[in-house]
Order: sequence, then C-alpha cells, then structure tokens
Amino acid sequence: MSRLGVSSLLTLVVLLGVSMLGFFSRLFAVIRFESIIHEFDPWFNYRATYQMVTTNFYDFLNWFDELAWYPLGRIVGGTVYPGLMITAGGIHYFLNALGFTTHIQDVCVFTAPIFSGLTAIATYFLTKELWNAGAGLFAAAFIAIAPGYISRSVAGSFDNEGIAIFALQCSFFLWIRAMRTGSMFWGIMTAFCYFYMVSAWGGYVYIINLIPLHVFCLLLMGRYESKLYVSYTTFYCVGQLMAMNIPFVGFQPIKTSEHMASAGVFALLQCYGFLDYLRSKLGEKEFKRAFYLFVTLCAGAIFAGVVGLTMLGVVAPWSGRFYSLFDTGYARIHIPIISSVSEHQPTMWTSFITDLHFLPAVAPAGLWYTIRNYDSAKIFLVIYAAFSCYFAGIMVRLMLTLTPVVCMLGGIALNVTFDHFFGEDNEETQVEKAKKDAKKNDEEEKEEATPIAIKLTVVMALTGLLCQFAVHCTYITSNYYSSPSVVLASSRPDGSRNIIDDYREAYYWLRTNTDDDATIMSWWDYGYQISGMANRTTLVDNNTWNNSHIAMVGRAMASNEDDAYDIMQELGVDYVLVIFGGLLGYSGDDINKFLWMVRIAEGEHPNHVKEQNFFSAQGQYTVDKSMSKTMKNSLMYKLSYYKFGEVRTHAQMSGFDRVRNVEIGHKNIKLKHVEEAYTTEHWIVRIYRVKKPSNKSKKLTHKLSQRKKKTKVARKGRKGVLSTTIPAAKGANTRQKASFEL
Amino acid sequence: MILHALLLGAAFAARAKMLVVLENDRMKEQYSSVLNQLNGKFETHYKLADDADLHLVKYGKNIYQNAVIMAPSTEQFGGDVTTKTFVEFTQNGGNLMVFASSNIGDAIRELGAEFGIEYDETGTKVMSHMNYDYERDQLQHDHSRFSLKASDSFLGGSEPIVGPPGYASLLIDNAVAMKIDKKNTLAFPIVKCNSYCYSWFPNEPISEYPMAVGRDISLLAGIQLRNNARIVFASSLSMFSNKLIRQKFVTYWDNNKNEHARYQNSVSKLAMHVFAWGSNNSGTFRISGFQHKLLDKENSRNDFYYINEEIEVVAFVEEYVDDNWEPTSLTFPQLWLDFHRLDPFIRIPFANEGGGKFRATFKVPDTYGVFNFIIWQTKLGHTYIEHKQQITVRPLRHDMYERFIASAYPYYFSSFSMMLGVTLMSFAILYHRDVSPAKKNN
Repeated sequence: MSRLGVSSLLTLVVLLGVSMLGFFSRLFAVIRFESIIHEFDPWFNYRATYQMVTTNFYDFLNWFDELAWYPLGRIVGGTVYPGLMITAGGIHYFLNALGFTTHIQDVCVFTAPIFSGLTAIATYFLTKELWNAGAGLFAAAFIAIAPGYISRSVAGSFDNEGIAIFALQCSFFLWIRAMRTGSMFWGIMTAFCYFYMVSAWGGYVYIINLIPLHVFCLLLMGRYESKLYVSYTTFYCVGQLMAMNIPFVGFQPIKTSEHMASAGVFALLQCYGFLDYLRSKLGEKEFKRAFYLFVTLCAGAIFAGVVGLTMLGVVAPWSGRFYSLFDTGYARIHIPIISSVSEHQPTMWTSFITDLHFLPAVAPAGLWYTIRNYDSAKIFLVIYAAFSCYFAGIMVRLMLTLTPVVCMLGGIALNVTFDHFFGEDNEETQVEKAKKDAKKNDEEEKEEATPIAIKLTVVMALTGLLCQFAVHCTYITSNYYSSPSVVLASSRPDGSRNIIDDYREAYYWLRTNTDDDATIMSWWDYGYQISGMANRTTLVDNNTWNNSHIAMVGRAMASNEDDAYDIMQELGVDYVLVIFGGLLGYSGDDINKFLWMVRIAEGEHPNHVKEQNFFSAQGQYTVDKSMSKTMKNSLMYKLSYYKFGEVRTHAQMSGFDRVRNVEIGHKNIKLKHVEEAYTTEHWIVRIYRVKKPSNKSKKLTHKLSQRKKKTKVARKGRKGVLSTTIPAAKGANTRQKASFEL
Repeated sequence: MILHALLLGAAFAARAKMLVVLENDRMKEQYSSVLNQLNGKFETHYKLADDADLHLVKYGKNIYQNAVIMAPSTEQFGGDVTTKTFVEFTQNGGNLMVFASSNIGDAIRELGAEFGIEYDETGTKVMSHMNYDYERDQLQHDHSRFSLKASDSFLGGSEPIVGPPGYASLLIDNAVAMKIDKKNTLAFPIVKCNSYCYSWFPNEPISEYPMAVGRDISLLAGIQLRNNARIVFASSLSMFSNKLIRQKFVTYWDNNKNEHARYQNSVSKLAMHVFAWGSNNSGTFRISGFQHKLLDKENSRNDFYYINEEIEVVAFVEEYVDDNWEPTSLTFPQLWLDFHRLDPFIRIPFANEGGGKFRATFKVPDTYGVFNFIIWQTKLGHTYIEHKQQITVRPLRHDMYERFIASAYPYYFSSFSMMLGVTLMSFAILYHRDVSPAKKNN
C-alpha cells in the first residue's frame, strides 16, 4: 500500500514538474523580447478575442469585420473556430473574477504554454491507458519539451494548434477509455472533448477519421464486441451533433466527404451489430459464412452509397486542401495559394531530427513492442502512428500531429528498455510483465543473467541520450522557435543584440498618420498584422478564403504601374505596403514571395499575367541587369527598389541587394501614380500612398508639327519686344519686389 | 479695427479677384466692352504680359481666383510665370481663360500643349471661303474674317456654358486653328468650325495637308479639371474686340441667291456666357448636405445597415448664383445615387423635391460588405459632383431570422416525437421485467 502511495505521489510530482517544465521552456520569447503576440494568424486570434472580451459572446458571433477583405468584409463568427477565443476569454474572465486584473493580451500570450502543460498530462494518461504509467511519464516528459510541438506553442503563439493538440490527445485518451470500458459515459466524454477540438481547430477531421478507422480495423480483425458498439455509437452521434453547432462547421459532418468515413463506419457498425445479435440468437455455425458475406456486402453498399451521393452532389467532394494531402502535386498545380505557404511545403528530413531529435530513431522500437503484444486498444496507436508519419511527410505543419505519437512510442520503447536493464531488483514488475506476456518468459529468464556491466552501459548510454535530448530541445527552442517574427533581432559583432522593430514602427505609423477608413494593399501575409496592429482596412489577409481577391492583388503587384493603378482605383486602395529585406538581408521579403503572387494571379488572370515573363532570358528569377522587362516594370519591383539605387550597401557598388546578393538592374526608378509615404528604419516596410487621379488632362505627347520654312517668317512682330524685356525682369526684379499686393 | 477687418472680409467674399493679362495698355480700350463687364463682376487687376511683377501664385497659394490671358503673342511671360505656374494655379482651383490669335507666341502654345490643346503654326489663320466678311475681305483678301452659323458650329445643349439658345451667327476673326488632343478626355469644344474651314498661311499655296480642316478645328474649347477648375481656350482674341463685337451684322455674299446677305453677330452674348462659365459663375454646384437613414421611422440607426433594409438618402445641392450659394433651382439635371461595392449594386436617380432637396429611397441589396454611397453627376458644363460616403452592410444577426418556419415542422415533430419515444422506451426498459425462469418455477 505504502509503495503504491509513494509511486503515485512520485508520479504526481513528476507530472507536475513536467508540465511546469513544458510551460517554462516556452517562455524564451517573452524573456528575450516581450509579452507580445507572434507571427500572423495569432494577431487575428488576438484581435477576435479582444473583440469578444470587450463586447459579449453574441456580438462576437455576429461580428462583421469591415476592416478585412475590403470591400467584401468578413463574417467572423461564421468563419472562425471560436474555441481558442472562448478559452482565452474564459481564462481572462476567471482571473478577473478572482481579482487578478490581467489584460487579455497577456492571457493570450500565455494560453499556449498553459495548454502545453496540460497536453503533457493528457499524453501521460493516453500512454498509460495504452501501455503503462512509466511509459506515460516518459511520453509526458518528451512532449513537454519536443521542439516539434514547441514550434507552435511558444508564449505569444496564440494559435489554434496550441490548444488543439491538448484536445486531440485528450479525445484519444477518452476514446481508448470508452472502447475499453464500453461505457456510454466515457463515449459521451469523448464526444465532449471532440466538440472542444472541433471548436478549436480544423484538424478535428483527423480525429473523426482516425477513430472510425480504428473501429473499422477492429471489425476487419473480427474484434467486434458490444463495448465497441456502445462507445462508438455514443461518440459518433453526440459528437457530430455537437460539432454541427459550431457555425463554421455547420452541416459539414453530414455533407462532406471528409466526414463520410465516420458515417459509413457508423452504418456498418449497425449492420454488424444487428447480425451479431441475430447470430447470437440463432447460434448457427453455418450462419458464419453468410454473415461475413453479408457484412462485406453492407460495407460495399455503404461505400457505393457514399460515392454515389458524392457524384450526385449531395455530399460535397473532398476540399482541395484535403485532397492535396493525398496528391502532393495537386496543390501546386490547382491551388497555388496553398502551396505558397511555407508551412505547407513537404517536410525536409532534417526537420525530423530538429523537431524530434532521437525520438524518430526509438519510436519504431516502441511501435514494434506495440505490435508484438497488440490488443484492441494498442491497434489504435499503430494506426495513429502510421497516419501521422504519412501526413508529417507531406506538410511541415503536420509535424505537429506526428510529435505526440512519436513521443508516446519513444516513451514506450524507453520504458521497455529501462524495465529490462534497470529493473533487476524490481521483481514485481518483471513478474507482472511475465504474466502479461507469457511468450516472453523464456527470453526474460535468459536476460536475467545479463551482466551488470552491460546493464550499466546501456542505462548510461540511454541516460546520456536523454540528457542530449533535453539540451537539444532547449537549444532549438531558444534559437529557432522563440522569435516573435514581428520583432526581429540580430547580433552585433560584439555579441550584443540589436532589436529590429520595423514592423511595429510601420504599423504604428499607419495607425497614427492615415485616415480611419484608409485601405491598405499588401500581400495577404501581412493582412492580420495590419488590421491587428495598425487598425486599418486591408484587402486580403491570412484567412485566404477568396482566391480571386488575392489574385487581384497579386495581379496589381505584378502589373506595370499604369495597369496596377487602374486595379488599385477599382479596389479603392489608399496605401500600398511592401516588405523589403534588401538593405538588411532579411530574406522573408516580398521580392522572394513575388513569384507566388505571379502564380496566383496567373491562375485567375492567365491573359494578363504570365510567370514566364518574369524570368530573365537565361530562365532565372533575378533582379540584376539581366532581368526581364516585365519584372523591371512591375509594381512590386518598383516599390521595393525605389530609391534603393542611391544607397551604398556594398563596398564597391550602390543598390546592392543583400538578400539576392546582386546589384539591382534598374536603379533610377520613377514613380508615377504612387508616392513614397513612409519607409522604416531598416527599410523592411515601405509604404506608398496612391495618388488621386490627376486633376489635369493629359499633356500633348507628340511634338508639334512644324513646317520649317514659314516658322521664321511668322516669328516676328512682338517677339522682339516681349522676349527681350523679360530675361532682365525675371532675375533681378522679382527678388527686389518681395512684397506683393493683396 | 475689427469692423474694418469684417468689412474687408466682406468685400473679399463678395468679389472674386481676377487678373487680366494684356499685351499693351491700349488693349484696355480696344476690348473695353468685354473688360467692363468683367470689371463690374470681379475685382480686376490689369498686368502686362511682360511685366516683371507678374505673379499668379505666391507661397503655394493663388493670388487671384481667375486669370484672363489676353496676350496671344507672348513668347515668355514676365515675373515668375511659366507654364508650370499656370498648372499650379489651376491645380489650386484657379480658373483660366486663354486667348490665342494667329500671331500666337510660344508661351501660349506651350500652355495649350500642357492642357492637351494643339495650335497650328504662328502665322496661319483659319479661313473660310463661305460666308466671309465681304466688306473687309475687299481690303485684305484672306478670308480670315468670316461668319459661322451658330446652328452648325455650336456644341448644343449645355446651358451653363453658352446660355439659352437663340444664337444667330458668330463672327470669327484672325483665329489660329486649335485641335483638341484625342487622349484629352477632359477638354471639349464649345465652338467648332463648319466643314468649309481650313487652316493655312493666308495667300499662300497649300503645299501639304493642313494641320486641321473643317470640323476638326475648334475655335473655343473648354476644360473642366477634376478639381472643378475651369479653363477656356479661345483661338481668336480680336473677335472679342470692341470693333468686332459691336458689329451687329455680318455681310457676306450669298452664292445661292447671288446677292449680299446679313447675319446677326452673337459674339457678345457668347462672350458673356462663356466668361461666366469660365470663372465658375455658371453651372457651379456643390453638395451642401447629405443624410441617410432607415425608412422605418422608429429605428434611427444609420451607422450601419443590415441586408434588405429600406433606406432613404437625402442630398442637398446648392448652386453658386450671384456670388452666393443658394439652393439649386428645379431645373437642375438628374443627380444619381450609386450604392457601390466594386460595382454599383444600385444606381438610381434622385427625385427632386424642390428647394435643393433631392431624395432617393431604395432597398439595400442582399449582399453584405463595405459599400459606398456615391452621389454623382457629370453633365457637361456642370460642376462634377462626386460625394462618397462609406457604409457597412451587415448580414443578419443570428436572432434576426424567423424563429419558426413552416417547412421545418417535420423536423420539429421528429425531434419531439424522438424525445417522447426515448422517454417511453426508458420507462419500458426500466420497469419491465422479464418473467425469469426462476420466478416461473416459483
């Protein structure tokens, strides 16, 4: 008894410690910079949360955001997963109710770290449910500091994923618990957790496909039992009903292909259950063959039904985003806007090491152990691992779903290994294990004879690896994932840090120097930041729902100044904002993103914009002398490099672009329809004012025709009088007569 | 002191300042009939074109509201006046009237080019072998003083510019051909030549195609800049001189009847109206007020609208009459209202309710977004009116939809019947007990 008490106390302490660690290791950004909202999407989430806490929930639900997507506007309530805002708003309300007066911004900054701590605990329970407490503690410790998860949950990264991973792990834990116990209570709890996930992140589709898949696999393996029936049926019905209450999700659970797998499995389970019931009543052995045939037919019929409904248009086909997960080339061709996002790029192998260190190496061992002594619940882990691996390979941002499962598998692997080599005197566990796994008995007897030296070596090696892991995680977190990207930092030669605060400088300028209803055109990346920090209207933002509007902005950027001016007039643009890194060597600037703008514009306006025209004769994308004429005349080039030719950024030449490492090809840029309004200290943000149409009519452009012989004859008369008197008058007299009559 | 200032202010407000640039002092007498009209209307300041003290703009502000340049032969203006000065002057809202002549100088030519008006060479004249002034042509045989029948040379229909109809003919004299550049969308001809005109050096054989012939030649052109500053270019100065303006009739040889015939000269009337238009004293309007509200009297919200709401828009228009802004008369042409979001969703005319009040009602389209009310009219000769106001159209709130709809009754029924069924089933399951075999035995 006391032993159990000690171990549970120890578990509690370790878990608390792990979640605290998870929380604190995410605070680098706050300590290095300040308590500020990071990046792009978090700015919208923050703005929405602010809107919610300053009004009320119903006003938030009906909030029509007129600053976004000018002039279309955006119904925020219906196009947002409100879970994040409600969570942060709830914490804020709770703290203020207790008397801790906090600003909503601070709550938002710390929401993700808090939930990371909770994720560690949820992971512990899930792993414990699937394996044992030891593996759970390992997994919790891993997930707390794994950079793959930290990358999206550092303090200030107020994004959906921050709380969604917690909801994901929690739903999976509850699901395993539900299918183990076969209780409706746990099934409904799973549904509740699923509902929270639906309200928080579009990635809920992952849950609603993974759980049915698990059930389907179990059916295939002939592991049907009434517990499965009860748990899945309750989860599915209650979960989907609740999911439909999120306005953004609406009727999707019964209308789109993404959700059809779950519906199909639900129907299949009914058939299976019914036949199982019949069989138990009839008790005929001969029935068995017919039974499986019938089930197969049912499955076929359901599948055909779903396909048929999709063909008829009752069920919406897979969305492009979903489809691009299966055909990696699809997005690049059909939806350039998706593939233009860096986090949607295929994952490089190095990032597996960066984000997970040694875990990918030990996870297969964990997987092997899981498969070797599988049961109904552990199969879930296998499916989870397989799918996560696949998705993580497709998109960088889906590393996030891989991280928890790899941590769990790593935990299992290490737990088994440590049990083996560390637990010599711990007879009980070995006995337990022996009971669990009768097959292994022989091996264990052999292993009991493992020399202490080998044990010690293995244990020390593994401990060293774990220490390395901790060091690596801390290093990656502090150096790669803790930059707010709104504020940049560089180090001076003497090692001190230089804060580059151009973004906020520019947004503050916009906030204080432009009209309240001024409209700012920029590439969509900066939309949320402009509306969040500058409080000004934007044409397009990171909620990339309207491709044609974005393409229009892309087209304006890619056109020459005259054409761009027409587009800007039509769209009612007052200011244009471009990001330029050439002076500082900041590579995430608009010239580097420009080809995507061109591609997206070309997708909608193939007659006006052609990607090929932006390459030089050698087929390169360049800004030096060899660049194409279209590139040289494009609005983006002009706005980025306006006056840059006068700046000496290189020992030998002026106008040297430090990102592209070339001397720019066109230095003497003249602007016709826009004028420079503001350029920040390091030139990162450049703002231009769009001029009103000229008051004046056009000047005569052609030379006046002159029939020579007559001209001289004609120029007599008053010419002498007037032109001789004037030069003298021009200089001296004007200066003398400074005063003038009114 | 204060009274003095007030009086001074009142005097300024009452009469706009006008600069008249002449070639020489004798012109004051030669053109007195036109200039006297101006003297009566404006506070006129006379300067010579080569005056070293000639200024239009000082410290970025216009010194005069109007400038009349009656110095066609100017090669270079005195003081600091260049073509750019005129541009600045008009950009600041100043009105400009420029008179050319067949002895046109470079300064005027450049000024025309700047605003998209092309003049023929110095020395050329617009000539017509039809309806030329018979008496004068006997002395100087160049057909450069001729009469244009108003009916085939006028740009009709714009009362603010040329006044009411009733013109007979115009006597043109010593005009230099003027062509409006095709790209120049703001300029329009006020008086054009008829098809018999051409432009060439008088009494010289025509060696190549003239710069302009027939109806290509404009004799009087108007420009209204986008800031509503007005510019008038005239190709003949001398036709406004006392001598010609007072010539009541033009005698010409009628080929058909083989006899002398006479037309009345209406230049005096033309001058009066064109000067009024060119100095923004005719056809000048402004929006003095603009309101929009819900038609629903109980609801006074007007900072945003929901879709499909009926709203009323009222605009007040004033006209500049006799140095005062007055509610416009009923004859004001149609004023339009656009409800615009990328495209005009609604375009309706305002109903004129008299007293300068214009009213329009419409139903907000079933599309949400950020809209603009645009009140506009672009009728020739009238001030451009374009008044924009931004307004947000929101989708309905979640609680503004109908609460119960007929087509949903099957669903209501199914949900309630389901609830009832579950309750009954629960009772059945909870309180029904199978007769167990054990009990049977008992």
